[in-house]
Amino acid sequence: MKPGRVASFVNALLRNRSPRAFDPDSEDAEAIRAAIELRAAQPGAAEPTDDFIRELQGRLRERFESTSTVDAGDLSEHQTTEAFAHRTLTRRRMLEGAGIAAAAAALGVIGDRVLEHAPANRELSQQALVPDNGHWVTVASGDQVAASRLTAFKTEDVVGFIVNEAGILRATSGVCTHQGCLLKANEAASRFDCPCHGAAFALDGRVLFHQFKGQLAPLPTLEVRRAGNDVQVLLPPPKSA
Amino acid sequence: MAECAPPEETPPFSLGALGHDADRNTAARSGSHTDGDTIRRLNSVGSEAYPDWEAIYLDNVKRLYGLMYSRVGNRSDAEDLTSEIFMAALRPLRTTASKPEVRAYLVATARTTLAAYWRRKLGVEITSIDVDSAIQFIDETPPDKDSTDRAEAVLSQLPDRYRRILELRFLQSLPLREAANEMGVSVGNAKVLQHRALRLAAQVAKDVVP
Repeated sequence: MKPGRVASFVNALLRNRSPRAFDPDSEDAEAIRAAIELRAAQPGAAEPTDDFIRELQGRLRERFESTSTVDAGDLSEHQTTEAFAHRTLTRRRMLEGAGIAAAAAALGVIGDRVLEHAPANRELSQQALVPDNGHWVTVASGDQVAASRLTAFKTEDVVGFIVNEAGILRATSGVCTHQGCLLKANEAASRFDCPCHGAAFALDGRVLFHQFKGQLAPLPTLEVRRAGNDVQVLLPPPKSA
Repeated sequence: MAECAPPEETPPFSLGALGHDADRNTAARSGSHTDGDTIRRLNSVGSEAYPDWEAIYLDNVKRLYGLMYSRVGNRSDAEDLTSEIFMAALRPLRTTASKPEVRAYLVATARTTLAAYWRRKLGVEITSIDVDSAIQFIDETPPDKDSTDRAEAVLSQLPDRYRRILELRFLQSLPLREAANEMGVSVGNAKVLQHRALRLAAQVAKDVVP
């Protein structure tokens, strides 16, 4: 039992502030749950302020109406449309949360492989995804990558970006290392943005910023090469193999 | 590394986590609660679509905030989580999606966001959004028993002074000093009283039907 920590957690609730993280035992957890239930019962507690509603609306507008991106968006759009194509709405299916689930499933492989290599308690270093028995897969043409600095690509197992800096090519994963959301290329700011929780990565995969308490892993990089007019990345053998 | 949960443990939208709950709940209730009923209930919300993202936002922000407040118990986090949910959910949404689809998507995002919040705060899911709450959110139906009823049921079982300190502090949001004055005790006593009352309330709450 950690009465002091529980008390400061509860005090934060009573001041409508974000309480500090700690590691509660089950009795602590129950006291906190009871405190939240009581707070929820305050008259009018559940009403957001008008200021908050306006301010968030402004932020959302900024976010959705002024993004200059090389669009990896057609990928997620595709996934989402597909997921919403199920016309019969069962409760269960609806609550499965369309859209991102499909995207996450498509990305599962790269996520698994990266995390598999990561020991539990570690410095989060950048993983270069260099499979032992990999094969080169063409993901873009030389013309495509010459035309813009950032080119999104997608294979059966991997979503990523080719970064062309003055003719030198790099490839990184296009999947946020937090929960597997698809990153958006933000060319204006030279970074990859995660639409889910606001994390951002540099074009070489380093973490620029995020809002999480712990560490966030950098984006894995992929081997990339030119073969004639093809741009290829080295990938693990397909899932089915 | 609770924040960076591996996808296999917590996919952004768990396929089936809610589904399994739904199965259990359906089985636990009468057999008549079928998917057919659900579809009819959901359709009663109307299958028209929202004109744009702002309409989605304005139609849902208050209730979503309320849902999150009731799960985290403080304004600051309720605002942050509400923002996080809209930021994550609005972009992938097609405006051709019907109202119930949009709301289902929002509440599924809310559920994942809340789980991640508790993982990083306390490592335990103190509160969650169950299927019934999700359906209530989608249908805009008031719950059978709201949080006030439940809190009252808990408080009514506590000794007077315990009940009083919790009412003053949690429901009326009085500062500790004022609550102490109100009860004619010292600030130190009020603090101890509040602590004990909360522990007892937690015990009682376990036996009060949700």
